[in-house]
Amino acid sequence: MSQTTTHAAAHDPADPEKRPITQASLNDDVMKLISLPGKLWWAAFLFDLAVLAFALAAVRNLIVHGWGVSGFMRPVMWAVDITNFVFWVGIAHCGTLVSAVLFLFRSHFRRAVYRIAEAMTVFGVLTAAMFPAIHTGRPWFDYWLFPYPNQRQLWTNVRSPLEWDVFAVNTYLTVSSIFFLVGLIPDVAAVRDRAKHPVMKLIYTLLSFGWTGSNVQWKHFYGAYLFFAALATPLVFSVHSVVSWDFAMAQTPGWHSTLFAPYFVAGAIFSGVAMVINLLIPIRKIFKLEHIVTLDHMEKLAKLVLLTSCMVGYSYLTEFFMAWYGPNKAERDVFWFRATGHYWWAFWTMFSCNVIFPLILWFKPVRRNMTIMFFLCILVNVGMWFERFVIIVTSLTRSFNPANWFYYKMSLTEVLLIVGSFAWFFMFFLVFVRVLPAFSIAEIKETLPMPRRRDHA
Amino acid sequence: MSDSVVFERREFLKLVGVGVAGTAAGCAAPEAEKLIPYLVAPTDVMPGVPYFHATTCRECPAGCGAVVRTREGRAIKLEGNPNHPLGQGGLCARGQAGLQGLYDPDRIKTPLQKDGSGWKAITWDEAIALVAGKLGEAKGRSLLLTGHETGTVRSFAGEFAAAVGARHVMWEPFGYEVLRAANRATFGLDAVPHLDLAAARCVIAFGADFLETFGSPVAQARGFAAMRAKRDDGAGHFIAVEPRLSTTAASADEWVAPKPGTEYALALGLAHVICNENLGTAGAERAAVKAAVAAYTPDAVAQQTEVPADTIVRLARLFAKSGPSLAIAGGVATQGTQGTALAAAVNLLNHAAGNTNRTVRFDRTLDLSGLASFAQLVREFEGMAAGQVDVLLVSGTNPVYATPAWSGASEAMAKVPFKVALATAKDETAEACDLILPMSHALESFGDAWSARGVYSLQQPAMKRLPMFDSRSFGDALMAIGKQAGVGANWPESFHDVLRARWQTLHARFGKGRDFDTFWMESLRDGGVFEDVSAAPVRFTASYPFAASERQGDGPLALLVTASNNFYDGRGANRPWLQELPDMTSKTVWGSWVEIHPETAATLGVKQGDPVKLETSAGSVEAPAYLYAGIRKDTVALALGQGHTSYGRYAKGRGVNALALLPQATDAAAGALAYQGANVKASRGAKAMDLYEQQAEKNQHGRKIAQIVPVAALLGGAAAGHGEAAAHGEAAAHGEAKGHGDAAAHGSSGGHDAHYPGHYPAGEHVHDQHPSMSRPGQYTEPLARPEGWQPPAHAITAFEPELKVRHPKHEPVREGSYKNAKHRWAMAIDLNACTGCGSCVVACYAENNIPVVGPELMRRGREMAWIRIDRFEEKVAPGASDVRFVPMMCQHCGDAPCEMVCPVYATYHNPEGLNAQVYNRCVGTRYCSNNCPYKVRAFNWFEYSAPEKTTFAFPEPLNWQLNPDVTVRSKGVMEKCTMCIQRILEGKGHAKDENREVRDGEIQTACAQSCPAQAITFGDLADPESAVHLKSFGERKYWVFQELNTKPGVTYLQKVTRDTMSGGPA
Amino acid sequence: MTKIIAPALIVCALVTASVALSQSFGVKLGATKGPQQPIEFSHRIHAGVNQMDCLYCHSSAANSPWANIPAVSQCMGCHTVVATDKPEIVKLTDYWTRGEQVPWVKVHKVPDHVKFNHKRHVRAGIECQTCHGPVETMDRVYQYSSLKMGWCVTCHRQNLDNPTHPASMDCLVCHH
Repeated sequence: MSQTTTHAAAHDPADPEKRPITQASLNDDVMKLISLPGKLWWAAFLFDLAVLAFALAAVRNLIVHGWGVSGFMRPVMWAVDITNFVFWVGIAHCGTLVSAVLFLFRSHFRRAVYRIAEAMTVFGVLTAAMFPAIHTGRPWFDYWLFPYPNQRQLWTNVRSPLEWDVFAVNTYLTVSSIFFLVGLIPDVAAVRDRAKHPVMKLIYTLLSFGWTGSNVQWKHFYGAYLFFAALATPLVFSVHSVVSWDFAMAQTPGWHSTLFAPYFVAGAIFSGVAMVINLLIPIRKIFKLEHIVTLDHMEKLAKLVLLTSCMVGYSYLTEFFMAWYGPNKAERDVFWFRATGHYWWAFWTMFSCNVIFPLILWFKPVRRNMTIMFFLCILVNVGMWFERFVIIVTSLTRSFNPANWFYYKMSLTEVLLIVGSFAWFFMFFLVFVRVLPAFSIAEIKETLPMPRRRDHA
Repeated sequence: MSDSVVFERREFLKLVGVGVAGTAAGCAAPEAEKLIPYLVAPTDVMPGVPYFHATTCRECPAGCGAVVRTREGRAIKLEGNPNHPLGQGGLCARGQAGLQGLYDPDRIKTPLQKDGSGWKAITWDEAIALVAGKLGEAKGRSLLLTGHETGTVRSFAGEFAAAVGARHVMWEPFGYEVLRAANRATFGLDAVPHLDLAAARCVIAFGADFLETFGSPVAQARGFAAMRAKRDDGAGHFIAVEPRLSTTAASADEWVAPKPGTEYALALGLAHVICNENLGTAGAERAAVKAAVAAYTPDAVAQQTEVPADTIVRLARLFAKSGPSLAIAGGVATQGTQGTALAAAVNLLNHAAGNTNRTVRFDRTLDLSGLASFAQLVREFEGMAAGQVDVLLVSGTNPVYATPAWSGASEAMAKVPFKVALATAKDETAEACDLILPMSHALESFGDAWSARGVYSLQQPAMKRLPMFDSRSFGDALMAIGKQAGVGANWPESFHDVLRARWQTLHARFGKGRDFDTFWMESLRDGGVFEDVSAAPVRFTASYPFAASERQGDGPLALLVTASNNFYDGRGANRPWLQELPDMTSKTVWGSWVEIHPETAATLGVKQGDPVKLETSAGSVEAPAYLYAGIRKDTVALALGQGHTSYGRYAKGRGVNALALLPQATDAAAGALAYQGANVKASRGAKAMDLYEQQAEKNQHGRKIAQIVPVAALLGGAAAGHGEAAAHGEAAAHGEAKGHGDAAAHGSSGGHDAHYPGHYPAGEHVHDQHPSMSRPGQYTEPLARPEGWQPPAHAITAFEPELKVRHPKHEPVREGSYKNAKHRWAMAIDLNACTGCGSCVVACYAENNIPVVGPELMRRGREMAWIRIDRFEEKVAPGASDVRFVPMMCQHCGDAPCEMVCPVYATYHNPEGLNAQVYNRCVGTRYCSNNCPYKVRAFNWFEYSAPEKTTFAFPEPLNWQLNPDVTVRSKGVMEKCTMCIQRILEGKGHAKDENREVRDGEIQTACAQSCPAQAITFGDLADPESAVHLKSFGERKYWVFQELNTKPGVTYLQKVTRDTMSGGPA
Repeated sequence: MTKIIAPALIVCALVTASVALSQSFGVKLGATKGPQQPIEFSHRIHAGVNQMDCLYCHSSAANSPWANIPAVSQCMGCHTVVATDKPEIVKLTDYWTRGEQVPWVKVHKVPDHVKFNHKRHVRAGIECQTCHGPVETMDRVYQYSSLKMGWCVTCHRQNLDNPTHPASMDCLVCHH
């Protein structure tokens, strides 16, 4: 494998953007990720596992001793657990958006980035799904949330938004995984043909579903891909709407709002795109793929961030307006408390990171400056995490009965849960870049000149 | 009950051992469970069926009647005895916590003899021999020191003392010496009168905490509720005169805050006005009174008390005008250097207003005679210190803790060669003794209490004494000692026989021809015999030499030492329930706090929870600050009862003992310890401390959780118009935007009573829509119902939506059990009666196996209480004050937010309208709690029911108290008020057995049963005759957060406020 | 190689599923015939051959939520004279003379969060055998019914409209 690396390192022109792409070099460039020499990767991976170990210890405490080890209390019975859940579901959204929606709109810039985005989706959902599972008081009974025939003759409560969640998240996980794997087929086949190690060869063989690249297969492949794209598109909007109804359906002031569905979807795409950018920038730098994921592509993503940032900002203002305008005093109190109360710092972190800082994206130079973009997107995701924290915690802290106004204080357990969720996500992601083609060879090749596909086949 | 039965009970305990292990283990069933049958089946008990025994509560000298509920031979619940004149069915928080004295894990197991620093267990025989021997050597130089005892126990103790040549001294920290002294001085009577609050039409309390510790709180609360109930002429004012707005004063219409120590002058001032203006019904000897108070003109008094003269005149007129009125002095808060003066002054005031013999009644007087005053106790200590006592026997009192250091208790004890404590727990005094004899708890032993004149109350063992404690009853122990000492030759076998012998005299008087055994059994069944007593009217004999006195010590602030509603003098401190029960003024738990006015605190640079150092000439303590506007700027308050150095795991090392601050002073006339009258220096403390707050926010932010209605609005029929006024009052009180909607709700309240039965609230009464909120179109159309449509039981509600924006589209369920259901269980809570005493909270803990989580978890918001009392302060300042208590528990909503969101139906609406919580179905998503507007759901954050966990809440033998009818919840499940479903099922079972319908009032929830003021009514809303129905559809009704349309099953009745500013009743 | 893996996976899945399902439906894997008791007390002889009424010994079943195990004294009531020489009876007599209770092993268990009320069921005229099975034929008593929730609910559901004793489907009746 090492010779391919040296081969890739061989030509190194001045401007990475202009490096020529040929059918062959593309394969090399993408697949050298897979045959990456270990050091850096192993370091990252082991560090990641170490962090994850701590988080798992915390989870073990939660299960053995109960959620009492966290800082949770009445009235704040949800906090970091659901915050993380919504955050990661949000992250997950961008993938489907970029790959499915943009695919339907035939916007070409997606080709370079959608594989990363899709992987992010699947792993995002996997991370998110952890939290509803462990946040219950008796996780070993979580399976009661699934409607299955049992001797007790009991059923689940389909009126409960939480129940809708169960279905929404599972559906999304299924569809996005299928979409992801289908898209992989031709590229995995390419990798399969190069793979040497028997086990890897076997895995690729399974994943490539006997792909030979025949015309018929291409025909069916695109048919299927289009079909799944169409299937996945509504989920982008439905899933996060359902998640938002966990809050909107409750009458807790600060949650009970019809605005939530669109507001959450916008937020989800916002954070998702930001995350994609955060992932792409280092990858294209480290693996020298600037000629595949070009600045133009990045700038288009940046514009998406700007757009969604404005939507989110608008939602914030609408919420406050409605609170002020509406008749509900409790709601007014909550929003006043949000901005000025005990958690003002969280609110203003959220507001500045999500609404104020992204404004600089109006300037083209900024959009094309990867360093600024990178840190801005990190800020955006910090902001989006705090958005969920603010929505959940401030609303619960100031619920209807003042006799129960207490302040939630985060404990070490929650900190470990947050860190752990990232470790969990990147564990998958690192493995992904290691074993699967992180960029769609097939689709990028479509944009390349001769030789045409027929000859290729 | 006969001894043989008591014997057979022994067999239960083996069975119970298994039963309890099972219960406490929660869901986990132990391997290869054994079924242990009786060896000999007892004749009078059946497993699984509760039995009740009438007895007497011995948690404080009041001696209220109690009923013990036992299962399989263990006492599991204490309730008030409805047939008993003291308490009349109510029982206070302290009384109910008596169970935890019985099951105290720190109870002494065997006789203990001090060796060196530690203790060594010895047998009873050795112990008895030892004591008897020492008593013999002492040759009369011995002393028997007990707490307040009456009836046979006292007489036998005296007999014993005489026989062994000891002196018998009884002492109580709250002995009310000042009252007795004042009554001696002014009426020539050494007695504590019976306060007939029910008959009074206006009450002024001069610092007397008569709803907390003073006198007979339960009976007084009952009377107070009657007094505050709506009167046709709007009478029933209550004015509190004290430097600090106590929990009792929180119920007052007006708070007058005189300079500490000058309350007596205010009382005299009132008397002066009454006499001069010749107001009210002229009591006898008014002339004499007039002469006595001549000097106390309003201006003079105003100058002395810092209470404006016109206030004095106004109150005097109000007081005299609404006779019979009642002025109350007494309790620790008035027991200072001016204590007797105040009590005497109040006697004058009552006499001037003609209340003596009317509301101040000397018929059923509390029996506190024969109690040694504090001064006498100190003399005893001096005697001991001088070596005049060789043997000291202490029982039922804890002088080492309950007296200030300067009284020399410890030194005196050190000088006594041989000291014996007859105690249940190893308290400070027992620690200082050489020998401890483990006493049986009152619930395990025979005795009696003649606590008030004409009240002969019996105390019987509700259960065989606990096997792990080798204890004997006080009487039996004395008897054994006496016999060993060779003086008890003519004594019978056991104290039980002594008791029966003594009751022969009562049999002679009350036997009514029954033979003694019948009389005895019936007395045991009824809890004693009670006669109606009358007394010759007392006459005013002489005045009292009133004189202003200087406060002692230097310091800018006055120190106010208050009795604790939870711990009395501190004897309740080792009861976890009482530690976890919030103090109703500060809403703090598990510790001490210094009440200080925010402005004063600001000058010290102290914020809420910061440590405050209090210094007097006697000593200094540090406690966290509680900033309280309800206290004078020149005063700080500290409660008694905490700061134990021994006594048990729950009491030891919590908070501080306020007695450490008291400088050497007594009330000269009465020889009472002066709890009040010291000056104190306050400064910011050094070490950070925790203030464990159970409720931090006491402002209801206009949420209309606790509502009031001026009494004027209730008078004279047409409720609607007044309701309007009331609502506006509300609106004004809160600066409410939606006062109008409120008005509509009230306005309608009068009219709707007729609608039921057959009325369904949704979509009806469109007429009282709020104009600005009404929506035209289909959603405001009344729901069309077929003729004679009846709502299913579970859908019946008293609730009337504030705004008819929409009606429910769905028909109430009519399938399965829902179509057969006959009842809709509901509650009505009268905020006008609730005094925030907290007895319902403890009752609920006891009935429903609620774990006590301790200070750390309380601070982290893990309170488990199913019912709590929210305190809301609208106006806390001298003048018209407004504090409202709201017992808050699950509202059993007809349209419950929690039910909608539970993914697994762990919480659902049951056919009889209850909001059910099925623990074993709960997964613990906690969504229900997030969506509950009332926030009354408690989550099991930890495992409280597993013995192996550190968070185990029921250490042996506390787990013996667990109610077998209620599941002990395990980790990770939500729990909440069930309206005592186990009692409902039991009641319905009885009805079925007798093949009849359930009678109204036959089923009582624990909270409703225990409430001294009967503020809580439980019953069947579907029964138009039931008390709860009448209240829920009557006037003053409202629902908390009714704008949320949750259709609560709990209806609140507004607190009635009375305006003291504009001259009282019509 | 691929040809083996897929079927293998499927088989595993099926096995797991079937086991889980059968358990959740309360199917017993291997029937139990009841535990060894300290004394080989035979219900067949007492309730079957001698036709003794169940409530004669388990009297509180009709008057209390809990059915009682007869006191040793009650056994001795007869067995001071009846069959005193039988080895099992000798055992019983020994317990009695030692003043010990007989540590019977529990056969019918429900978890602590289930509150079953014997009185209500007996008074509703339900035969003991309905739940406890043909005890009069058992030498050693075993658990006849599954005592699982579904089993209770089925019967309750059938008797919802029972004219004399309508059963309840309310969870609170058993879980509180």
